[in-house]
Amino acid sequence: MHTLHRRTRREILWMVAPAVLTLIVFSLYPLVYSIAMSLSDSQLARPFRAFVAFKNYTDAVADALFRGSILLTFVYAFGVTAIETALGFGLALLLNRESRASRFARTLGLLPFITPPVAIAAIWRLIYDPSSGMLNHYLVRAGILEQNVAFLGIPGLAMASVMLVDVWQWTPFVFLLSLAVLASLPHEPYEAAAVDGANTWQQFVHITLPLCLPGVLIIAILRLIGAMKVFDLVFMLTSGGPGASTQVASFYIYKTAFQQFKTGYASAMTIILIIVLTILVTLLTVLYRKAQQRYGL
Amino acid sequence: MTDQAFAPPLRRRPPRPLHPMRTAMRALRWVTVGLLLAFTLIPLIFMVTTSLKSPIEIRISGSLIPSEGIFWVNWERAFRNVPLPNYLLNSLVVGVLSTAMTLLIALPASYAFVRFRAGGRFLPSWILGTYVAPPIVISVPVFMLMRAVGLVDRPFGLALLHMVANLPVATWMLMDFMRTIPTEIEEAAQMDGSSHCGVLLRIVIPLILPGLVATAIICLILSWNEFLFALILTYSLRSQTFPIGISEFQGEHGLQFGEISAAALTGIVPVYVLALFFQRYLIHGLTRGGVK
Amino acid sequence: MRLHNRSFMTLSGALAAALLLSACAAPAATSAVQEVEVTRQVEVTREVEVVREVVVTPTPEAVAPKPFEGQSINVLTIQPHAVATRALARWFEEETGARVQVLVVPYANVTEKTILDVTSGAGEYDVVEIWYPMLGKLVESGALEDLTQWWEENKAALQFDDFVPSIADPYTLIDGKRWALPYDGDTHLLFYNRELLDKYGVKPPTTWAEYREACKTITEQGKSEGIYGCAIMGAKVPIILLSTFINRLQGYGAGFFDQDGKPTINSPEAVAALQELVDQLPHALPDPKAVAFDEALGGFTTGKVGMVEFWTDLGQMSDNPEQSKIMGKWGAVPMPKGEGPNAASRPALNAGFALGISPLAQNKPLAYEFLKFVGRPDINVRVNTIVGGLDPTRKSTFDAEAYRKHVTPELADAAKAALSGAFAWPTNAKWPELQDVLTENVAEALAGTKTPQQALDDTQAKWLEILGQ
Repeated sequence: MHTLHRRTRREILWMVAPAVLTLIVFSLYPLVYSIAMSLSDSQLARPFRAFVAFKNYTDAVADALFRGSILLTFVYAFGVTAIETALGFGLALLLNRESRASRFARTLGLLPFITPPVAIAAIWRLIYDPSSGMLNHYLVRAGILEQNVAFLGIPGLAMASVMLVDVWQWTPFVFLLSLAVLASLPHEPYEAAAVDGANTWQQFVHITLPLCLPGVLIIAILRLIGAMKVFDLVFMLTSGGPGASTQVASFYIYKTAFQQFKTGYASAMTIILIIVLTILVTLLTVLYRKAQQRYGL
Repeated sequence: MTDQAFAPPLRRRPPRPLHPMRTAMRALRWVTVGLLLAFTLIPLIFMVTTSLKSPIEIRISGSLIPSEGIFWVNWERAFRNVPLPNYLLNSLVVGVLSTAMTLLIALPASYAFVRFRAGGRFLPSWILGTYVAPPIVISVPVFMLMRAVGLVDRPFGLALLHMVANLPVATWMLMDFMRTIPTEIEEAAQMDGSSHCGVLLRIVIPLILPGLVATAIICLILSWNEFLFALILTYSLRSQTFPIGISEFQGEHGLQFGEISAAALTGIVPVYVLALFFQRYLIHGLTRGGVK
Repeated sequence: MRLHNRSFMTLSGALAAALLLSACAAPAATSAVQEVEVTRQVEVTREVEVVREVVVTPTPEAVAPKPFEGQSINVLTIQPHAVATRALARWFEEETGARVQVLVVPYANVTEKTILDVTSGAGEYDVVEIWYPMLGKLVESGALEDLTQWWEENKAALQFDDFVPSIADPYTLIDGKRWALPYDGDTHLLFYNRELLDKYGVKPPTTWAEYREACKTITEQGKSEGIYGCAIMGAKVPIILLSTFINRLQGYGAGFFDQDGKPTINSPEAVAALQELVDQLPHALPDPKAVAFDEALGGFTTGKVGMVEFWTDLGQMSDNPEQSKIMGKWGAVPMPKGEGPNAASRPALNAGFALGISPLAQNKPLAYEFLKFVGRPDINVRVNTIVGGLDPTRKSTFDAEAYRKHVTPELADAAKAALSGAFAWPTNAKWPELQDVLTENVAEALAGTKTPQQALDDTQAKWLEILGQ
């Protein structure tokens, strides 16, 4: 865009260097270490025992449980991201106004995100409890359920139940960032539209939505990556059960690395997951750039 | 209160006469908000009442209302059995430190990416790419690294890692917010002889304040709740954070649901107060028109 | 903190005299503080032990020379044992003047923390707690100090023969060497709610088939009021799910390996045992696949569940007014038998912990001293008469008056009998891998995605592969 003179170049270098250096040290080194482990017969206590080339990778590809876990991860991540983005952005739109009630509701909306995950798991285990749970207590009384249901004990339902907790915990993430996106929208288009006599709905469709799209898309991408790595909720709510019905990739990798202590194999699965996610994220960022070129400022 | 939906608030819009259609829309909006808030709050209310129920009542009834009187003992024990203030202090130090570091590094970087296309498309993508790695296996080499530089069981070490983990989120969000600033404003400032850093500080930051505040709150909370690195990297009260402390309620008699609820509610307060304080910048922050 | 303490010691040798003086002045202040604590804690059942303790601790002891004054060690313990380990640390400090920092981790993470600490060279732990089936893995990982010599030297003080024989070796021995000290002796009994069983005309079962029938009878009649015949812990966590499975496996007389170390996990007896478990599921508190420690405990102590296989200290919890609605209304019987020629009533060593020393311990002499202290018979009685999460490891503790009074004589006898004949889980270095494969397959059988035969055939095949046979 501009021709940059030397002083500017140096300044730019200084702006970018800390981020790049930090990430090289703390991200590239562990990555290289993990790749090395994935190519070797490694245990937690004894890494790099022997070079085995791609044996861990071929094992992983042949491992039905691992393949299943990747599939579950996709179901989980896309499911919760879609719901959280819709709810979080929707709520932000509804509460994006100056009034005491809105301000109050906005702050309350953040609360689940502040709650520590261990406590979230504990309280939701009580909510889902088959004999004394809150959900059963009220659903049975209201006549919606005939008898108590073990929400975390039935395959399929257990997955949905864990996802519901994720939606509860992470919708505020989308909500908060969406509020910020809305707050940074320019006013001129609305003023022009008001002059043209556009109604609220037209303003929303033709101005708000297109202008917000890139921002919301990047929030959704960040959330999707986060959900792809889900571990703590599964670990504390179901440990992957019943059967293997909630065994997402992160949890399966955790079990392999820290319960079986096979860090070489776990590293190979991690690298595969990273590759899959990188492809996915690259596709999504292309989409983001398109949206940005089309609608962005 | 204005009734305009789906648009950023304008300053002082003239009140419009109420219309039946608008009244219906308004009702619908508040019903939706009400339902979403109920979904958000009921588990938290349940947490409050669980903290006030005796262990046996917790196990007998899933009712939202304690029926056998208030059981304060959970609160007393939550503080006596586990050194909560200690954990909270560590979390606060780690959270604030890591958030400050994250923003300090992410702000100039994202500005350079957006304004000067520094690193082209590759560098920002690579930064996002680092966010993709699941932390479990990574935690082993990270532990070795932190051990080598003597930062195991140190709040600073944990803060450093949280910074690394949150950097991609912060960079990408800030990039998005910076894109919304019209370049003319900055160019005008540059004409006046400001350096790029000066422009960033005096022009850009005030302009993206809502986004900056939201990003800061997100980074703080992500650090506040981070469990895996905290579990691997900390040993003792010197650096153990609140999520680790709260897992101590898995006692010899099973999970102490009442105590864990009391402890969790205690931990929510400081972050909530911080978020409340910064909240006003989220909406108010600025009106773009005024700057121009 | 601890480094600081240590360097402080080396640097301030000159101040030793002053320290000694202050040590003499300290006791008065300390006991005053403790008394304040007592008045605060009197009403709270969980901490009653403190009351007894102050009475026991005589002040003169504090004046005696304390050989480890000013030194410190770090002890790694699991959350369920935090209270017990902290009590031991306090008593040890009182006796030796040393400082013991108790570092607590969730039990699920204790092995990885121990291994990582040694592999990375961090060496933050001096004494570590071990879930005994992980012993072989820890030894293979070089994460434990060889204690064979130490056991030899301290034979008299430690009275090895006094440890319950069924746990003494499994908890400590790998490849002919000793690596640990038994700490928490855990096994299951079948607990039942006398009132519920009487109400529905059911007797405590002696076989697993009777158990299933009893469970069914109660559930069929009581379900509408939220009463279930039994709670089965089937959550997919090795320590939970495998305890449940091994209880039945033993009843059918099946094991994991034959004489030559070849896996026999798909023997007809083992399949019958898993089939029995699967058949029991529909009658149990729903849904066993989501029932873990807390759900089973809560169901039983609130009187909603007729029977549960559980750790022996459920007795104490059932008599705790704050936690229980079934005080004095419960009983316990040995594990039911299976069917077939090898059927036996044989409990298993489900859970169970030992203490070891890290090879990187920074103060090994003190670590050994701490182990010696914990291993003392009188300390074993003392720590088992507080509500701290431990169960006895010594025969003499089961017979001690204080312990029998603490848990009721009936329970003491039942627990001793159960522990004495109990079957030990394997402890070889491959076991972490093997148990994960087994957990995965048993969970699938419970979820109905595999038949018991399929699940155990798959386990057998995978085990053979892992063992390289």
